[in-house]
Amino acid sequence: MTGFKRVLWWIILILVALCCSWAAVQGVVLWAVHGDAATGIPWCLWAVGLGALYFLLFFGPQLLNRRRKGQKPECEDL
Amino acid sequence: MKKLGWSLGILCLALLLTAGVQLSVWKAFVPPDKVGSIVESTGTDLAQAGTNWVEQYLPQYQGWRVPYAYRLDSWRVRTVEVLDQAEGVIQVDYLVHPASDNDQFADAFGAAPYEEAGWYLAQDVLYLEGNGLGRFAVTACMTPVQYQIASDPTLQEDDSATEYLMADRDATYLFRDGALYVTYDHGQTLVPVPVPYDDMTETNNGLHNEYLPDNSYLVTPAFTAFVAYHDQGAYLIYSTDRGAHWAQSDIFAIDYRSERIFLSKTPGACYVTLAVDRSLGSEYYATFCSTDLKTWTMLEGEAFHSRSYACVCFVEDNVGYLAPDSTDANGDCILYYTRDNGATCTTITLPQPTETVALLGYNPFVQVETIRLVNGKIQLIVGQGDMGDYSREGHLVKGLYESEDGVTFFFVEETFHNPVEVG
Repeated sequence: MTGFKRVLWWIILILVALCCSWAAVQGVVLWAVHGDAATGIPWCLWAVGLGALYFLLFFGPQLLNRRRKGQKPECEDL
Repeated sequence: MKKLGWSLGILCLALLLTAGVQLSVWKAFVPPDKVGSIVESTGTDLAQAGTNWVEQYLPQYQGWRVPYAYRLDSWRVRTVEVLDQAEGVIQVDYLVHPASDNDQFADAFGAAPYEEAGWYLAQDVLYLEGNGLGRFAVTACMTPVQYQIASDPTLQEDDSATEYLMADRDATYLFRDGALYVTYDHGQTLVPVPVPYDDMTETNNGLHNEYLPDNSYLVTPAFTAFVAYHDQGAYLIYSTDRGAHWAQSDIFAIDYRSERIFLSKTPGACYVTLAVDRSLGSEYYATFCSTDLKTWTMLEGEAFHSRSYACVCFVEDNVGYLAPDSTDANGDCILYYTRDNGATCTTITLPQPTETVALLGYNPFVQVETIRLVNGKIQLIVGQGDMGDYSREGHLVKGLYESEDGVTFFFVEETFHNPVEVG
């Protein structure tokens, strides 16, 4: 990745991490603290989805690189 | 694995950051005051001003800064009724829909569940003061019930405190017009006690109680003393010259006011028992002793293991009785007797009142309420505890016990021993 792309990647990654955490906090407070599952569960689902996106963003470039080079991803990549 | 650690670390940091920010913002949230809020309206129409007030005031309960116990999703005005045109009093009924339907919302917002699912009904009576140009300020806010009471004198209770004067005693205390007095001649002359009213009478829930239970104060010509509370904790205010001069002595630093206090004076010492801790609704007591009325020592020993007492009284230096507020395994009264300031103690067994037991089939007298020294004899007034129901002529019966040697007690008679109050 070029420098600009790397910076952009980091910014997006951190934003996604913050959004994921935000959704998790709302979900936990609503569901566990206030007992409002109807509102809390959608927030938790958002947190799970954003968490998946975060990990995809984190490991995606490296996995793509490996695939482009025809190598199998190894455990060390993780 | 290193990368996985990094990714989890960043996510944890983000979680801590967002949780910290969100929780601190929620903690800092203060519900906006209704009193003082400004309503922009048109003309002098109070009903329109009420509608506008809802539309302008409630948006403050929206947004991420508002905790879910208060946060609103939407609202609508139900009715606006002008209660007093001249005074600018209106009643606004409005429906609110919380962002989260949680248990705390109704209490926090002061609203009641409405027939429409998910909606709550809130009612406010507002006093509006207009400037004649369509701008109103809310000068007072109350619930409809409060307004009804405030506007109808027949619903207002006399909230003046009850005065207590033990009419059966020459030397006693009296509260009058927010001040404490003592008398040594059956009320003919009243001697003011220089103690703030709140220090003496305020309770833990902010109310005032002017009744001082037996054993919690001493009024005798030789020694008069009360236990009071100020910001620094419990203190003794006392006089040794019939109230001509008073002195104070700090006993124990605590911000909780003991529900029961036991005060006794012996020739060489003064003893105060009060709550020093409270948990799960129970008070835990400690006994303090002072020989110079300046420094107080917390007594420790076998006699203080119970920690919760119905009555404590020291009748001579180092000699005292401690009655826990519980009974033994047989449901009988427990009374500890100590001759060494509580370091060791013996348990005194009170004889059963045979006639009463024959009549009822059980001994109703299970909790010592008062311990006193009368003409060299120790007298105990033993009540029935919280569950007692043995009464005559509308009064709960108590047992009077007496001892000449201080250890062996005899049942004397049934008594009522209710304070005779006047005023």
